[in-house]
Amino acid sequence: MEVKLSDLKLIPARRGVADRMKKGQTLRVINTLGLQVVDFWAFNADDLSEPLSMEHTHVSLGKTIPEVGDSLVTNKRRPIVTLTADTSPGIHDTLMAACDIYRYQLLGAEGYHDNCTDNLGQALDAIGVTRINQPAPFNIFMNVPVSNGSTLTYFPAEAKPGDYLELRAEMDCIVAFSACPQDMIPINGEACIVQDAHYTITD
Amino acid sequence: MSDLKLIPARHGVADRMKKGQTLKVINTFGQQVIDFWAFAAHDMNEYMSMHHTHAALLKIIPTVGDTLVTTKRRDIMTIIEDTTPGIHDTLMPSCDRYRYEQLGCTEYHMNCKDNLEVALDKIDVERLVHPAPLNLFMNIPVSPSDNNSIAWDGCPAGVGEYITLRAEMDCIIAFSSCPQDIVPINGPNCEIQDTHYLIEG
Repeated sequence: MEVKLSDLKLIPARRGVADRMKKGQTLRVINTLGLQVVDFWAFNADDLSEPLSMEHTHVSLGKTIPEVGDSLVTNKRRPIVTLTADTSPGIHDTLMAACDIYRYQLLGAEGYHDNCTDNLGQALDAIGVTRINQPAPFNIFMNVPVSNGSTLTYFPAEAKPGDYLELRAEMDCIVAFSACPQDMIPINGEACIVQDAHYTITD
Repeated sequence: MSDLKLIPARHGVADRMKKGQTLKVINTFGQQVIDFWAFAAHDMNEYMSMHHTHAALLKIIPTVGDTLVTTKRRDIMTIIEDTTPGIHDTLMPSCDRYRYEQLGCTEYHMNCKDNLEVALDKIDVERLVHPAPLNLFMNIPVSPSDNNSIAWDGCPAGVGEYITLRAEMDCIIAFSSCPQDIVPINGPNCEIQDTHYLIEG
């Protein structure tokens, strides 16, 4: 599916953005410059207390990394988005919480550090939506393999410039993104450079 | 023995702990999964979080010596002893009525999500959020092939085996002797059993 340049919407590096989708529309999340993790959330447009839920999705899919054809579900176990295309190596994460000020304090950051938790609140606020909960995000392009049945290791994202993932909305929903500001651990590439990403919403 | 408190099969129980107290959760008859939650006593919006604990521990199965953390990444529970094979789960949500509907139930089925609410209500605590539980004794192995595929295996905890946790803050705790009797997580016979707990110190 071709997307026009005019359809592209920016997810600024280190920042969050929220938008709305109608059931049946397609969202493309683009790793514009490569290596950038994008935290993603979705909420039932009619009920903010029904978000996309990683733990419920684990049950529904019988796996922790969604792949093309999989429907991710809410905390009421209803499909909210279906993964319809993925040009990246297919590595994404559903185990990690959104980064927050506490995370960066523990990592030794001095002063305020941009973070996905605050980005979600600000992004929703910018479209007039009051956040009522903080679900764990779908960490698109994030690379945290499980080894030895339990061990988690942070690796750089493997997505290349222009790689994208497409999600079809299975209900009217509010979507939000954060171009993860993590620059102290190399999840956004070895150089720890945080990049812009883009998205499109098309019928 | 008189201090042992019952978690009735299929039901939930809530209680309170002070920082420094220990909690022994006992698989009295063996092979019973217990959903476990902990909340900061002063703020029910701050709770033991599996996703935040994954980052803190860099593992999905906590073991002896590990401290589980809250949504503010503060220590809430430390595992200090575990006589079971050490298999627990942090990937699964509580079972709920939707789960049992999808498994084919046409009538109400007891479930951990409702059990948490009822248990907290009994100690006059309002539940504000529904966190994913620490699923004690639950056996959900992850295979790195097939996109980290998971399996629902039987609970390996033996009769009388237990796990002991120390509270790192004043907290409200809750348990549910998981009523799952359709998927064999509580042993191949899918029997739901009573379990017990003990708070000391």
